[in-house]
Amino acid sequence: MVEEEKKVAQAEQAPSTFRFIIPGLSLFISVAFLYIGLTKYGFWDHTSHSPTPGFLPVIVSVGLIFCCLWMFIAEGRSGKKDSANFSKDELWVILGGFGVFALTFLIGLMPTLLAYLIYWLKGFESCSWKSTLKVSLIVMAMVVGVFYLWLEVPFPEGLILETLME
Amino acid sequence: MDNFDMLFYGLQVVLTPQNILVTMVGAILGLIVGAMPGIGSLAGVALLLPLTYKFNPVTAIIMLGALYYSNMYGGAYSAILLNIPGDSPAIMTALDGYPMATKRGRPGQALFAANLASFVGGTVGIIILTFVGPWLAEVGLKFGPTEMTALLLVALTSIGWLLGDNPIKGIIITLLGILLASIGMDTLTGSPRFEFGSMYLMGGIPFIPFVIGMVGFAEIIKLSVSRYATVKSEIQKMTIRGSIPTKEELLRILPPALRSGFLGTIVGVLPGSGATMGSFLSYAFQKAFKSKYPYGTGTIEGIAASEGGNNGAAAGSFAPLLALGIPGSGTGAVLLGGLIMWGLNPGPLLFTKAPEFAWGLIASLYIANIFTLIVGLSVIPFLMRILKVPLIYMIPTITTLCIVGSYSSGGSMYNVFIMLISGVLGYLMQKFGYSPAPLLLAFVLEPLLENNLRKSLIISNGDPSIFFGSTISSVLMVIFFALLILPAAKAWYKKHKA
Repeated sequence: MVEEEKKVAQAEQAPSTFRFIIPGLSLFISVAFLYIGLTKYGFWDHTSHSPTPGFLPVIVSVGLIFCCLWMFIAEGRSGKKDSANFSKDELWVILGGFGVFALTFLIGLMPTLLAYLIYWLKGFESCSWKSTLKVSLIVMAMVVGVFYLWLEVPFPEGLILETLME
Repeated sequence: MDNFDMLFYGLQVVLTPQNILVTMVGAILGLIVGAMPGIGSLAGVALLLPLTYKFNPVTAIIMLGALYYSNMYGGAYSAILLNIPGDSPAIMTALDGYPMATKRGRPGQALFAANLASFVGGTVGIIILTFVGPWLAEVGLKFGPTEMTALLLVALTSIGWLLGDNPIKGIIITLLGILLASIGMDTLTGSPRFEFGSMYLMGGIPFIPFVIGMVGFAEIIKLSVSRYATVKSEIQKMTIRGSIPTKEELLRILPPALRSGFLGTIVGVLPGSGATMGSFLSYAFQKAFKSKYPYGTGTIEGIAASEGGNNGAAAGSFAPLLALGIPGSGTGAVLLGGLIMWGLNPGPLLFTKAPEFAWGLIASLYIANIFTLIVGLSVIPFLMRILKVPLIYMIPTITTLCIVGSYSSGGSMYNVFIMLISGVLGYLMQKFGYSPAPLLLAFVLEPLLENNLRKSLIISNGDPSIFFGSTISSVLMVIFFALLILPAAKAWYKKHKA
């Protein structure tokens, strides 16, 4: 209970402007789609009287722009200052995932996953070696057994292994 | 009665030691593959197709049918226990299944409900297939581009039931889902669209990694904050008996399972729809009915609707496949490939020229359905142990499964990248009160909607009155406009009455 309270206490409230992230991102995407849709793909082919590839995206982009602007106005008028809480631990999970992605190109997916499991459990969570190795081996056995051996999914080998094999 | 006699004939074909054995093996393998995130029914059936080469055509297609069918059961396991849908039809199962397992502490009941609803929905679908399958397939043919557009517009309004308390947030997310789905190849012109110069985006955003990230990885990011919390010890006894829902819960499971089985079967018959759409529409339709708890918070009706719908659609998809030779989905295309490979020609003549095959397959679905239920229920006590595992071990484990599952779905690290990005997006959405369900539904429906909409307008030379040209599309368009206007009309009426 005390540990959990510590974890919750460490979460920080983001600035109130963060609540505009999603509508802001949506507005950016919709403006981009509207512009590209109209200029590159067109809206309507008057020769064949038929819609072009930009037809539905342009309509949807216009709708999305309106909704995002409405959201900005509504949220701005509401005067709300509260926002969501973020924690560094959440960032570590994200970075861990992207770290696996990056390292795979170097040493391959299977070694990267094993390294990730061991590092996360021993280095980050400070678990005992026994738990670390037990969990890591079980997970890797599942991945190798089901995906690699049975379903024959060809996992990437990474630059180093590919170079060695040459 | 003719069909009944033929069904008995089919059962005679199936009930041989070899065919029973392959049905059982197919059911177990399909269950396992279905539970693996990233390996959907299409990949699962395609991967396991070589196992059937050594058998005669009847036995081989019986095994494939069992594989496909039990895949629908398997997807629910990882959805309920890990919030990672094993395949796309299980996305809606995760919405209520995971909270019921974790927040309400009833994982056994959630898994039992999923299995039971799959069985009920599947049985409804197979019975409909048995007696009116060929007729349904003919009806399905009447759904051309115009009728499909109208139906999909109705389906999109059903997203309104998923919007939650803030409709504007829901609409923003829905429209965003439609835009994201339009990235990639334009199937009508065959040219890339909105790929922003990237060769990866030319193929669009792959759906399975997108879902795994948005639902599964996003949940793991969120859980990292509470990973030191004590695991609930009130999780009931890990036995099958301990997992049986109460009488009241069983009575709450059956109506949505039956309704969704029926609705899912009809959806499964329609060209290009499939189990994912069956599951989505059934869940959205179920929201019009009352439930004990709010939908999305762990109510058993939500699980029953989703699972009943996807198994019903799986059965329904066999109708156009067998009766007309038209696959209803990508998986159906693999099954069709298998049929042709064994020298069989699906179509109206299949039932007369090769009745032992057609009715053998239909009969095997009954057996596979029963057997998958038995296997599915018996593994519940073992699967529930997953929830006892401390979160500090689950976080890297599930991250690993998300990565491996995403990679396996397409064989490319691009899929893993999409999973990670959509995970971050899903996490931010949840933080600020945006539900991922409308985005995922819109993502699934957009390709079908756009193709059929544009085809309709091409056929009519741009004249929108084509959507009122046939009885089916006219009725559906009226329903669409009614569903659009009704909420606003209700609100206006209430305001003026007050």
